[in-house]
Amino acid sequence: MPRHYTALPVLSIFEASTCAGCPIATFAGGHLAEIATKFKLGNVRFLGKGGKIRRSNVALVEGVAASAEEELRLHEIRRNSDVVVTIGACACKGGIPYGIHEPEEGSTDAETCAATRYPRPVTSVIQVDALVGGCPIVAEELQRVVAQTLRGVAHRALGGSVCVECKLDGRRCINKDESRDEICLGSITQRGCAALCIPHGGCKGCRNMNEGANVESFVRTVAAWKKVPEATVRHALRLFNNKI
Amino acid sequence: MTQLMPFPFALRHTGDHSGGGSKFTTGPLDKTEGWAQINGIRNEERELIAAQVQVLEHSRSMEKLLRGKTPREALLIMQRVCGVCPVVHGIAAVEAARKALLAALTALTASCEGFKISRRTQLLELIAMLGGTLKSHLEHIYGFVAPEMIRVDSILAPDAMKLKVVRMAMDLIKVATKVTDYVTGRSVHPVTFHLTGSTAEVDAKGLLGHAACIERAKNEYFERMVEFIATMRSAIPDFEVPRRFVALDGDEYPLHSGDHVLVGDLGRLQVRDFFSLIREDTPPHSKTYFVTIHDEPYVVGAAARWFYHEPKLSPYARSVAAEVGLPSASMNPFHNTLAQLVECAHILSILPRLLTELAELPDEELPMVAHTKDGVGIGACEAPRGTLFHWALYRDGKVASARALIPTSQNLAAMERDLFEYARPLAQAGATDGELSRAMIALAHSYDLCMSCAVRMLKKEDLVHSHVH
Repeated sequence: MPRHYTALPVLSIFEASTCAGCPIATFAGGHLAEIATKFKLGNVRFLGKGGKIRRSNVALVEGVAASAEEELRLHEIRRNSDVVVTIGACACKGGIPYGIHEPEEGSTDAETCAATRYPRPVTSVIQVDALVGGCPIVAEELQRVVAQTLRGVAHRALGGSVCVECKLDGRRCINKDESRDEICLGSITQRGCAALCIPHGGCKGCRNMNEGANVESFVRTVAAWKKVPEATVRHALRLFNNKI
Repeated sequence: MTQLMPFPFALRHTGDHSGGGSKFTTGPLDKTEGWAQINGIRNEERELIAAQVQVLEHSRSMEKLLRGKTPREALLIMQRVCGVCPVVHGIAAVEAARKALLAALTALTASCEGFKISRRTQLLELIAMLGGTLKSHLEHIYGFVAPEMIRVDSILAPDAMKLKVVRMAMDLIKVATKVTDYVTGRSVHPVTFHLTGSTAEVDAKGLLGHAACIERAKNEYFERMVEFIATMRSAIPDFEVPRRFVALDGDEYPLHSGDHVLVGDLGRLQVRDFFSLIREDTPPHSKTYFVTIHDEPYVVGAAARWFYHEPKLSPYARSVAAEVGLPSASMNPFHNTLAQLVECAHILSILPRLLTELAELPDEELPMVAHTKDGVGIGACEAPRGTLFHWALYRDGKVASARALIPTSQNLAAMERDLFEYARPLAQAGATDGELSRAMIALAHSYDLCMSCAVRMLKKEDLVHSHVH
């Protein structure tokens, strides 16, 4: 249902266990002043507005839940927010920290790793209204998602994979290039990042995966192209996509 | 006119101490990266008997996550220790890998001196670090400390946003961010750092354009930003406490990586020997480790670099130091903020020259290298908040064990001591819990804390000390 605001909407930014990269990316490049004109700031602790969780129209949440206290806090954030948007790979799907649940190769503590409750993505603790993936997020994408959800419009991803942006850049496919040993996850990853990482070693899959991505086919196909074991391709997936 | 605002901290009394004493806490600190609070403990006579820095941030087990990873993956993971200073974590991680895998890298080159990164890569990494340090220092000075000086709760408060000096600071932060974006692909979690060099796609036009932006900022409005801090000089308390400073050594003012550490009366040590001195302990009241040398605290950061390397600063930076009243070899913890401002001036002095030099260098093709060797390496560099160390043991080209020594962790023991020494006489003079909290928060902010970096990443039993030597 569309929402109408007669005053500036209240925006809060909350961190669970995090590197704080996503808020930094949100505010970088001059967005800070712009955000201050379009929103009234609620909780933004690192900018001096911490304390008790206030009622917000929009709550951006980043990081992973690493304790029971953090889970409780996330529930309180949910209760006090009209709209909750998870920002970043950690909050959306666990990101790099979630990899602790995967035992290292040759390890004997597989059961311990899998059974450990923490860390967990925010999306596994509370219901959220939109997800903005990436490590870090793309600020312009966040602006679009927040604007849509504030209007009550369900956010839809742009459609297409990173391959679209890579080809628009005129780049050669890394996965088809036998002279390069990197595995590129662009074909199963949502576009929207301008294929930034392609010239620097390929896509690592930090953004949300494309809906309906055929991961098994991807693994088989790339393994065949690169002439490597399928385990090598799966290993590349695990940097940001351990919940698969 | 700026209205005075109360400080936004929660004050709670727990009163759960035996002997009738009391405990007060500031609650989670605002205007810091990550979660921490300061506790003060009084006895029955209302004397302050302890000050605690309680880090509340949880571990993300980053060091453990490195096991089994290639150098490239290790670099991507370690950058994500912190989104405020990912450049320095990236540099330290790649330096550790380069040193650990030196034999494999040397096989790529015919030089008998061994592998060295090219001048182009040196400049790209140095410029990235300088841009990141400039941005970080400005955020701290004008985003965290200045609001306290003018008694507003946030730089985003309407009264603050009207101030031209705040808009100038935001503009310069944007300029610094764009420089780092340009030479690293993306300043938050860069994409261009690699074992054999930088993959940055830059050209002369872009580099010279950024050099011009830096020059404009320095000439048109940085002076007024300095004047603002100079006029607020009287708000900085006079408080001195003897301290041992630690910083990297170098021929130039060290804002990059290095191989030797200056450790006060203990002299100049190789980085690996420095590791044999330190001790890491997690106090019961905190979730992160505190680092000491011979059970004594020490301090890293801009104040430490100023202590050792003042003569190596540019003349402009030294004039800014004089203008803001930063004395040589200062033992005042509050002066760390002034030392950061001096470093901003130094960076603004030297960045245009470096960007211009880089603009004259051709692009280069980076050699690929197979990661199949064993080795140990330590990458050490001067992060905005102090000396950062990444240690990595590689077996068959993958990380077998890793450890990071973070600037904020190294400062926490000194910070607790300083908080106590600063607040104790105030308590003796009859200061209330609220007044003590306010004073301790101001001192804590001068350290420019970064808690996300500082959290314990490994349980102590998982550390493999023996491999360091």
